Amino acid sequence: MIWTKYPDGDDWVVYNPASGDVHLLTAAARRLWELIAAGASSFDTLAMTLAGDLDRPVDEELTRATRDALASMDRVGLIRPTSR
Amino acid sequence: MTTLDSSLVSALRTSGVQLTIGPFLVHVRSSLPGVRNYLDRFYGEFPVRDARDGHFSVSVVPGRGLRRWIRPQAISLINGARPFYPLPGNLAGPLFEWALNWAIGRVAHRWVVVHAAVVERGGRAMIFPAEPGAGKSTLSAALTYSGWRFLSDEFAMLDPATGLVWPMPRPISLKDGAIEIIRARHPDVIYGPEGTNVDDERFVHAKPPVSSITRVHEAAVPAWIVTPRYRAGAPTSIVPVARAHALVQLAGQSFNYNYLGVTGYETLVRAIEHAQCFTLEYSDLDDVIARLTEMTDA
Repeated sequence: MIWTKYPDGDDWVVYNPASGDVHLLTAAARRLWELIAAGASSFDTLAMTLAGDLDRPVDEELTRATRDALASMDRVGLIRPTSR
Repeated sequence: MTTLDSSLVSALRTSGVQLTIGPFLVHVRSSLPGVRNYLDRFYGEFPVRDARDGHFSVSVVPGRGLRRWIRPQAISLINGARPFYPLPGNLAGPLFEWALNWAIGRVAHRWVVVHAAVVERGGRAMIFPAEPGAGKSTLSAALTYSGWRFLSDEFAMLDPATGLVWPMPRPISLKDGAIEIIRARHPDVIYGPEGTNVDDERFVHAKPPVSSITRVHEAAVPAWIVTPRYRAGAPTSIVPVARAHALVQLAGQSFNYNYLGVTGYETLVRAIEHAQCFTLEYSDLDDVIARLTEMTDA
């Protein structure tokens, strides 16, 4: 994966050489991808780490946003679930 | 040699001629008068010589059998392939143009090719990436005939080695209402005959200024990426866009960045890096020309 971020915004663009596709991701989605790449595999770990980064509790909104970001990245092939 | 003299007309009908259009050598062959007239009208300033090869080979040939005489047809052959259905014979000239678009979009992998119009002021290019029908040809025509340099109304050709955008000042394709708008503003421009394309749109080709054609070898630095949208009655609106969003937009309009792999992607990243990015909504050409000119002067 090749990641690109410009100084005029928080969003990231990722290029997937395997598919040839380009995707726009939020900073939080990028952080989740980094955590997964580093070996984090449980949803609770991901949500708690992200909450810590953002200095906020693991509430319903963050849980939903985390789940949506993971689903989006799964859908476009940026991550693969290890179990369902 | 810059025009089709009698020997080249003869070669065009038989073995073909080689037309130099910017970085491309295009081998053209056609016995149809519509193609010869089209080349005379729109490509008179481009070098042409008697040669049998090129980067692309485009033949426009008459239909066979009864179609030579009854509702005559024109058929395009591009590098030996036949990607289009036969079209009415009166579209033979424009068919050459569309065949060339097809070839560049699919074969010109030395560049990252983006579906976009491109104009230039002071050595800096303004790129208008957009879907068909967004108004990029109309906008680029209006800017061109108001003094900007015209690079293309169809392709931004980004050079991976230099990051520069290369000109391809071929005829500007005006459609439907844009025909009357540009004709009324610029009656002295050379226009081709009006026709109807396969999408049932009226079209006319307009010749770019000779000053743009003669600078066909001068590349420009991408300085503005502006995604345009024509909306009837809308006031001019120019809104900054984050570069990450503009990059995704540019990639979405590229024919071949993924064919070139990482090099293709990095060429797009580089094009955006030092450019200012905007979305543009417009309807009043005088106003949008003034606003964009002011922006580039700033």
